[in-house]
Amino acid sequence: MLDVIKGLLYKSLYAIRPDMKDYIRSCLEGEISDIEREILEIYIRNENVSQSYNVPLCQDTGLVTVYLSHDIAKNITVNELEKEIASYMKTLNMRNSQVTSPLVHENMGDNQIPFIKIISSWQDMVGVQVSGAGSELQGFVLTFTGSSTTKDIIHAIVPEVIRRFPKSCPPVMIGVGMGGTLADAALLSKLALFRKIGQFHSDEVVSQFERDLLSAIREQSDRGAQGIVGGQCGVAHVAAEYVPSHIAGFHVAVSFQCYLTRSWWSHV
Amino acid sequence: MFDAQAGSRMLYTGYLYTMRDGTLKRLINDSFQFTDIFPVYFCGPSFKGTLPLGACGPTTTARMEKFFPWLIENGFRVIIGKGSLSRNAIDAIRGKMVYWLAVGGVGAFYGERVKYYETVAYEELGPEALLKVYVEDMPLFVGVDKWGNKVI
Repeated sequence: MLDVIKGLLYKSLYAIRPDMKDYIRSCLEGEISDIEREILEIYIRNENVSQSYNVPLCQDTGLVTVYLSHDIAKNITVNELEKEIASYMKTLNMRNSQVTSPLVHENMGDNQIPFIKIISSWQDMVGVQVSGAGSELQGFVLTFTGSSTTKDIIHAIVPEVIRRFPKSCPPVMIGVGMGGTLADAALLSKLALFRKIGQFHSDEVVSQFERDLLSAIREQSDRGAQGIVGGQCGVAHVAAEYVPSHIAGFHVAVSFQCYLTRSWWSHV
Repeated sequence: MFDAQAGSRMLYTGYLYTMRDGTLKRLINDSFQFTDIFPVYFCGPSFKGTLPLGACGPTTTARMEKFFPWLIENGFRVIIGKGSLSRNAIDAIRGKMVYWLAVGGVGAFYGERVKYYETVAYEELGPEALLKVYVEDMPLFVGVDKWGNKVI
C-alpha cells in the first residue's frame, strides 16, 4: 500500500496526468493563438526537464493530502503512514512551502505534514492530491436556499469561476461539491478532481449540471492557457459530486486544479 | 524592453530579484534600500535538485498588487509573475511599471534558465528570501505594457 501511495505522490510532482496531456495535445491540434500554443508546448517540455534534472514540475509542491477508502484505512495506522509519507517526501526535492500556522508565518524548514483523509464513499481506492497555492487559494464556497434551482447555482457560480480560474494556471479542472455540511461540500469538491477529464457523472441530473456549467463558463470567458485573453483552452473539465442536503439550503464548494492535475488515484 | 507592446515575446538574459509575500513584507518593514534595480520576479524557488535554484517558476502576481506602490516608489520598472491583474492594479502601474508574464507551473523549465544566484537578504525566509539571480534566455511575454494594454 505504501509503495502505491509513494508512486502516486511521485507522479503528482513529476508527471502530467495522461488525460490532461491528451487535452493539451487536442488543444495544440486546434486553431489557437501563437502565445497559447507556445505556453502549451512549454507545458509539455517542462515535464522532460523536470524528470531529467530531478526537479519537480512546479516549485510550488504545496500541501499533500492522501485519501484512503474506508476499507483500506481499517488496516492502517494513520500516524505511522503519516510518518512514512513525510519521510518519503524528503526525497522528492519538494520546496519548504509550509509555515507554522496561518497566524505565525514562520517557515517550518523541512516541510512536511501530509494530511490524511478517510473517504467513506470510496472502495478499494487510494488517492494523492498536491495543492499548490495558485489553485488552492482560488477555491470558494457559496450558500443557497432550499428553493434555489440549477439555473440559480450556475448563475451565481460562473462569475466567480471566471474571475478566479485565470490565476490557476489553466487549462484547469474544476471540482464542485454540493450538499451536506460546509466541510462535506469542500471535501467533495476536492474528490471531484479525481475524475478523468471528459468523464461526466453517472447520475443524469448531475451530468447535465456539469455540462451546463462547463458550457456557461466557456461561453462567458475568453481566457485560455495561463489566463491569456482570446484563448481557447482555459477550462478542461467540470466534475461535480454531491451528498443529501438540508431542506433549508446547501453549500456549493468549488475547487480548482491547474494544468498539472495533481490528483492521482489507484484501485488497490 | 520597457517599450515592448502587450503580447510581445522575449527571451530575457540578465539579473532579476526574486520576491514574494514574505519578502515584500520584510522589505517594507525594514525600509530596505536597493543599490541596483533589476526586474522583480515574483517567485519562491524550491532550492533542491540538480539545478542551481531547483524549480523556480512564477507565483501569482495578483497577491502582490498591494505592494505595487512601494515597488514603484523604489524605482522598479518591471515586474514578472503569472496570472491576471485587477483593473485597479493596471491603472496604478500604467506608464510606471510593466508586467511581464512568465508561464506558471513550469518551475523546472525556468530552473534550467538560471545560471547562478546570490542571497541578498532574509535567508531565514527560505523560498521567500531576497535573491539576485542571473538568467539566460528566459521566455517571457509582455502581459501589461506601459500604455496599460494587456493580454492577461
